[in-house]
Amino acid sequence: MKWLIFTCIGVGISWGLMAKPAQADECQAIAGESQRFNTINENGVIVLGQSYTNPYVVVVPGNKTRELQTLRQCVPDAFVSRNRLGVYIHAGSFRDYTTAKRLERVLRSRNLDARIVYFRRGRK
Amino acid sequence: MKKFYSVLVFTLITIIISQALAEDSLKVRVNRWLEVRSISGNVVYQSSQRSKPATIGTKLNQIGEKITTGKNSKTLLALDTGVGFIEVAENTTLQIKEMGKTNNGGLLTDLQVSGGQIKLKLRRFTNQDSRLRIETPAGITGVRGTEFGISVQPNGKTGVATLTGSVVTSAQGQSVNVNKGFQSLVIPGEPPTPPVKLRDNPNLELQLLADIGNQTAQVVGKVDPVNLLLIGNQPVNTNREGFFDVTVAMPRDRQISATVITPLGKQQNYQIAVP
Repeated sequence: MKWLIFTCIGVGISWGLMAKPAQADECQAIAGESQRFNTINENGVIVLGQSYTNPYVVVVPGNKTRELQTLRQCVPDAFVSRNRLGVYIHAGSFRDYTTAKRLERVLRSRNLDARIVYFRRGRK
Repeated sequence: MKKFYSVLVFTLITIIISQALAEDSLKVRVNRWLEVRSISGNVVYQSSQRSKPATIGTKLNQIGEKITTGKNSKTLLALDTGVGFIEVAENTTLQIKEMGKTNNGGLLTDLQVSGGQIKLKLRRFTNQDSRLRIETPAGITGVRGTEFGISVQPNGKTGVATLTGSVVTSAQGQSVNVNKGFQSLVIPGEPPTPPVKLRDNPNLELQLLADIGNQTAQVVGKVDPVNLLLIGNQPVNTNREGFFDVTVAMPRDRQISATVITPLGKQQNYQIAVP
């Protein structure tokens, strides 16, 4: 009987932990990188959004408020956008695929459905 | 009879003069002015009779005269000799509502800002009758020597920020002291908000940015509600929390210009790059 009770408690706790969304304290800075992937200072003018030099974009499909809030704990300047495929969260845009992959991996480890798309400015 | 009429006329004259002297602040015509000291870009002087480009040395001293700055333009005005300076930012209109003197030397200055941003730096008034007031669509801000700024949005929402000294902002029968290091918001039809710590932060936070077709883009975001926001060189209204949601024409390079100006004149230019 005791064994059964402990098993049920263990399953219950595990179930709760698995369902728990990414928490703020789990979002740690990507080593050596600024957390603002959509903000560039060009000679005093701040460029927001997708710079034309950065075609590799990390996106999270959908426009769920909870996911945006979670993502913003890691990437404060993430924003919502949309194209012909639908609404998505624009997490960050990068010059090269490798750097984009790092962010994608970090966001996926926090249960966000992140993926990399290639957006040449003006084409979706 | 002649003597009677002489006495009567003399008495009437005496009564009229007494009435005039009995007023606490009798306004007299004096030589006061706002003088253009520097110009950058497109700055226009207007009176009831004419409109012409302002030049250094242009003086405004009549009720109704105004100065208007265009896009990327600004001007510096001197108030009389040594009273103070007014920095007028781009896309701003400043008009004289009152410019006089009391019979005991007090300076009466009422200016109106219908849109845009100005920053004032004034010496402390030594005459107790002196006053300077700035009227905007939302309310009136009065000061007696200080450094402060005002920004006015197209919907009349006014941000007041004080760097030194103290200003009093009044609207809807209520007045609020905006002391050094504080800022306040005045929305037309409402009393001034309680002052909060001065932020002087021209940050722009993007929340949504999307190409919605027909070479237009939707931009949703947030700025400090006391700040002025221009998108595509057009002033944009924000709500009381500083949120905005606009649809703007998108240039071929998909970069939309934006500018945020604090009431104290701190400015940050942005390029919003639409994915």
